Amino acid sequence: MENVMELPKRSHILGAGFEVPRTVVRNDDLSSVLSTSDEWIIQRSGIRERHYVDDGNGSSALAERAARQAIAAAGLTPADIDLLICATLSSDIDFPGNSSFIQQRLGLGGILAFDVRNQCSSFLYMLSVADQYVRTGGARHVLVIGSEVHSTGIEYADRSRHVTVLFGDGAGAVVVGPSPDDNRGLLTINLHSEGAHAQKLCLLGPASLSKPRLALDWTPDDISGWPQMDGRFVFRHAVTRMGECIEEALAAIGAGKDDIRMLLPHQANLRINQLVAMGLGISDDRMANNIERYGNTTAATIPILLAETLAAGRIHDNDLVCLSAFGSGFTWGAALLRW
Amino acid sequence: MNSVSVCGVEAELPSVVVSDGELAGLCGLPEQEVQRYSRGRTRLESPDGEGPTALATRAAKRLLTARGLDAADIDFVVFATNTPDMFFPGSGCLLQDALGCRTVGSLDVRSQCTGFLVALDVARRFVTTGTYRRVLVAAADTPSHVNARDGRSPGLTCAMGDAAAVALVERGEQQGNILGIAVHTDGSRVSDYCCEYPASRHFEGPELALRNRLPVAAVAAGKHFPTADFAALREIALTRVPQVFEEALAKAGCRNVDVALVAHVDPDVERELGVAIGERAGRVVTSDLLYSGGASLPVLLSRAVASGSVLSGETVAMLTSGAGVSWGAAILRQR
Repeated sequence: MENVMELPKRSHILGAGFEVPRTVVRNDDLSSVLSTSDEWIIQRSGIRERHYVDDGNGSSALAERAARQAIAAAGLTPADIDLLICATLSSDIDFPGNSSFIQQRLGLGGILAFDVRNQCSSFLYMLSVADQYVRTGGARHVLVIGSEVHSTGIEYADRSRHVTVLFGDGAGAVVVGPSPDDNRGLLTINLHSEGAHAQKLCLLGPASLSKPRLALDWTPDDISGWPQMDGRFVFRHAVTRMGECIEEALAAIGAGKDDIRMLLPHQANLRINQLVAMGLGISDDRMANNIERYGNTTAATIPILLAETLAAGRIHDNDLVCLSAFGSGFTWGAALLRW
Repeated sequence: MNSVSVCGVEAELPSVVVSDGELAGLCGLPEQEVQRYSRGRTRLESPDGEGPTALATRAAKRLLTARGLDAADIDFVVFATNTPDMFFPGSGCLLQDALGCRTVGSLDVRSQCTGFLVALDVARRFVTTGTYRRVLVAAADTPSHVNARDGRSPGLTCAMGDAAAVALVERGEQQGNILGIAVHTDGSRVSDYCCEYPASRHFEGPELALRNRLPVAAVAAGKHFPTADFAALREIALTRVPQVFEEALAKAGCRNVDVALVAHVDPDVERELGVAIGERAGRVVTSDLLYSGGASLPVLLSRAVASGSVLSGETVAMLTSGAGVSWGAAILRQR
């Protein structure tokens, strides 16, 4: 492909950063407008609070701050970035995607920047794409960002309370580049999808199946304008699929469940993650969660969790780190990295 | 090392033809205004209920059959669209399901007008590393479902139609035929071609009741319709596309190509670009169909091959620019 004399054998995550807005919304703040309660939310999801934006700067502003941290953590400057990949379900505007806005904010004009839209599995999809670019010489330092402002896209009404209470705003970013050591870095990653269940967790509109995609007399009473979820169905599939794809990743490198030193799962529901960990025999000290503080930030969950877990000193050199996600599509996957 | 190839491209066009006169009536525009943007090109539109996935599915089924493959032979799906069937999930998993693929990964890419070029670049890298053996790339757009039909932004309304194309990217025995790809983005010019709503940056106040990325007033005011500055898009095309063509030629190790396929929302700009890229471009081929965003280039390639405008063994440049703003070029050798 590109004329690079020596291509890196592996890519690695060279740095991570995250940003959440200042405003904290506790379960009780939501139960004042929705028929729900702190106890109900904690019992079913583990969530205690989430952060909401308090300005009109959109998800690209959160992304910029997360990205600058990730770049600094990697010991780089923005000028070192030669590819930008961004994921969101809540872009600043309908199009172009957030990658254009983030590129402008970081002063990266001229490099290739594009969006990936794979919902809760976006980070793993982006990680795999970044890995391909690094290993084929298409890019040296790929900035990968998940950022969401869900608080302006969820319905504060009882018919949507089971969805609304779950989501929060935030951004997480990593820099993917050549691994300094062939034995470390991204060892394996698998990606899956099953569109047969697309409508079990979806936002139907506005979108182009309909013509016009949005009627001029559209009102928010139309449920198609709000995210919908069959919670039980999603929960059951998430537990099964995350367990399966983690086992697939372990088999791909000839490792066993006991070899995982740190599991960093997507933060959709603490109960899902606990069941996945139980199935794999992973104890609490070998898994990180932060959903109780941030809710589900979709594309941003894993990089936020990774940045926090690294900062807390819970990941050490040579640890086998497992990332896994499941979400709308359905889409799911797992990655193993030797730190 | 590089034995990665595009093995077949197949286009699917909607069956409904909408004439300039009909569109003028629908949108309350003078027919001359519609003609000013369409320049006599054919406008094909998908009906309500037929989104990009339906078009891409038909194209993919034909391509698989022609190649003696079935859905189980696909290892990964990359879908580029700016007009997805649903807001989420993306159209990739819908195509995965419609074709009956295994639970393989389905990547959804948004790169607007350069969507196919980015999807192709991503796909070839997955195959180059040996991660996947065969990747299905889809580019499909139904702008007639998104653009205004009430006289607002008449340029986009009149200059665009719906279409889809798919390609298979595979590792093979022969020398690869993807010779070079280059794509760039300049996020400082998003307003050249954009659509504001739904807008997660929309913010009226911190109260929960005010948090709404799609306010009724914005919809009533038509702010969910795309807008474009044709003069700005022309300027980007004429400055950036010749540069990225040179860059792709250098990557491909070619001095020139036999055929250049050029796609742009403005037919006049396609003609100007054809002149600007000069003799390095060989024959310049543009579409007789209206522009369909990211689907335009692979649709043009498929139809050019079918009509004999591109012959076996010829080098082909695919050139475009548009929203993002983004611009790009790919150089292939036709099998």
